[in-house]
Amino acid sequence: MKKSTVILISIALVIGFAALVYIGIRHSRGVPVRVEKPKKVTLEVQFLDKEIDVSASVSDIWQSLPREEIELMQQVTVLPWGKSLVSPLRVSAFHNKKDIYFYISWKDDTEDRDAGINTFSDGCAVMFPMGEGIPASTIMMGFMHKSNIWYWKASRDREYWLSQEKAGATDELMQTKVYADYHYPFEEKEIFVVSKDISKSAVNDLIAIRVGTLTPKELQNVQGRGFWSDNTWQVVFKRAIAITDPEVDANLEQAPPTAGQAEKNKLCAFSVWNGASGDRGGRKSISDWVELQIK
Amino acid sequence: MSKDKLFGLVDLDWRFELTKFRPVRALFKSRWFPLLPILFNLFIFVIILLAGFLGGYSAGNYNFGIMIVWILWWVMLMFVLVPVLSRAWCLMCPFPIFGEWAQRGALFGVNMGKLGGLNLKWPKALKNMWIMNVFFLVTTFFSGFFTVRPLATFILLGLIILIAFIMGLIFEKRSFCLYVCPVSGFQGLYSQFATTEIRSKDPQVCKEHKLKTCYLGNEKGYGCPWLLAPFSFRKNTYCGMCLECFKSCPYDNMAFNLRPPGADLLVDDKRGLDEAWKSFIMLGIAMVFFLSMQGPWGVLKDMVRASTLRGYLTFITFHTVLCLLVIPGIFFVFSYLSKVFSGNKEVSLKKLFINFSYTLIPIGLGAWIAFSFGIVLPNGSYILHILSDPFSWGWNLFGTKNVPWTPVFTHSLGYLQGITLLVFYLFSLAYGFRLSKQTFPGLQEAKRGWIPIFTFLTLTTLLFLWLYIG
Repeated sequence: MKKSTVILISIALVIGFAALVYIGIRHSRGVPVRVEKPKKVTLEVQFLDKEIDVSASVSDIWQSLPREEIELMQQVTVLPWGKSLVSPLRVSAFHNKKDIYFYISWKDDTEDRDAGINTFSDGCAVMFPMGEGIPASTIMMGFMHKSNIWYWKASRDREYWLSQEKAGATDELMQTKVYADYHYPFEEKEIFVVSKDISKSAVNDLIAIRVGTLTPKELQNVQGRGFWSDNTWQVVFKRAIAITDPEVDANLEQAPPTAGQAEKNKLCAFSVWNGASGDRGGRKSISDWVELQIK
Repeated sequence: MSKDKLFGLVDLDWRFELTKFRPVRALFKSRWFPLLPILFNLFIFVIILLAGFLGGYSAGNYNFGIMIVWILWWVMLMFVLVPVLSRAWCLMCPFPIFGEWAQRGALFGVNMGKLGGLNLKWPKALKNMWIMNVFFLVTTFFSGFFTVRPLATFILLGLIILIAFIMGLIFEKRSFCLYVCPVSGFQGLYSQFATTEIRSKDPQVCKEHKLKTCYLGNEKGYGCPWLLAPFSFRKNTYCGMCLECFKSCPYDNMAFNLRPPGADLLVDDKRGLDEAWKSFIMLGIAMVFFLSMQGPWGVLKDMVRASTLRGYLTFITFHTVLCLLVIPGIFFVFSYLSKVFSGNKEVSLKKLFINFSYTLIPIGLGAWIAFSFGIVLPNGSYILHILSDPFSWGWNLFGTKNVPWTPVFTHSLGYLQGITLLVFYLFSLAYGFRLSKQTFPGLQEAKRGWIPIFTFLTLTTLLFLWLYIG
């Protein structure tokens, strides 16, 4: 074997080995994957000089407004993880300078309004991050960051709106207050306050700073109602734009013209529970942040 | 027959030839052996390298490369291959096969022509264990990575195979195995303790055989690839057990013998500072490995795993100084005391230092076996998992993928380690006094000179006992 041949073989082997080591080091913690940053959905919140009665049926106004389709994903940050997936969600919104309205609609084959043993209610929620340093991903309940959550639950919706209807009735029996367990005849004699919690709205106005901190606000500012028909839920939220407490109410006022694009656009996220699939608590479908372009 | 009996039980000259059994001799003379074990190991090492390269996220305990090399192979080396079968690993080692193939131009048959490659002679000044000593010591600098990072094992093994091949192209025969391979050095050192050996049966037959085919080769076998003269073998240190001499000897005058453990320690042949330092380095590494891998000191683990650069450099410095200076330095002091105690002025301190360094071989091997217990008993069950799923791809080849981690006999670990250390300490004492008698001309001088070395060996064993089970 010639000296030059040995040198050539040796150089080739050393280079080959060095290349393998380089590739190995590059891949030693897994194959590099190019992760495309998902494009944020922007939801246009138009000005519309109209007012909606959310207690009535779903207004025709929503048909004329732009509607965004938002893909959801299972919640997998905190146990229990989501098992089923509800997706997509159709969302619209508008404001009339006094109130802001959100319309959420999704396909659901069953209307689940009962919460009992192994039966779970359908529901949906909108989360608004608050303050500075908003996390890059929605994860859950603000994830160490304060958030205001509007939580609509079908069972609560029925309870609340039934009580409203009864309150308006002339029949004395019909005026009996409705509680969580409204078939229980001795409700009035109960001493535990929790059993006497009378909903002030079909939507629970909550604050949270991480998992396990979900707290109903003292002042419930959000109204809403859901209607199920044609295998579809349609839920409308309404809240006054003016806030009563900046510490706990999401600021949804239109940003001043001088603000930058990032400051102009507020963020929100959506989640949906399908009771028939066993969704409850953390077992739900969630969206990433959606930008709100309030005009 | 000699009257010198080890522990008063076994004659040190006792030998039992295993190759007198015809199937064994036939096996040793076949060209398929050790080619088949080499090819089998080559296959295993290809999987090891792939597992190391593709290891990715997999932790050490679920990586085929790490488990086979650092749990199975290392423990087999320390438990069986070296103390019982001498350098049997070299017999089946696949690392030099590519270089040897390139040299011979044949994998199976004997090529009688000139060997390929440049076939250069290894420099005379480097014909010793120093490079192996340094290479092995440097290798242990990365011990914190080999057992937890599959790629680190890939790089180490790949580097050894690469160097072995390139050296095979440049230098004659097994120059890499003799003078560079980091695994070869400690095997050579500790194989002096082995209970088997390859020797010529009848020196007279060799003397009368003018054409030394065991050295030069013939159509049946190559001349000794380890550049030795098999007809004059006296100790195991540099014999790679390639078995070519069994094939090339026309008189079947080579033998594979059983013998009392440690018989080579008394053979005064090619003793030198390189081998002495090898025993110091091995002792130091056993100590440092225990401290960093099995000891309760998390701060040391962090240093070895290079959690911080400063900590890592401190570890390298401490480790190097301990192995190359502190242990030899302490041993030098005891050797000097031995000379003073003996009252002999004729024997040089260097000779005394070198000769007594061989007393460290049994306790060093004992420390490594005891350390290996601490590796295999808690972690051995992982091997069943990785055999079924070598690449962590979810395979279940042998149905053992889901075998849970099961420590075995760990409640007895301390006892096993303690007994091992004590048994090998006794071997050190047994050979130590004989070495003293070999070093000093007078019996009284030998007895007096033995006292400091006996003290050193006792203190060293006590230190290991304290470390392992204290």
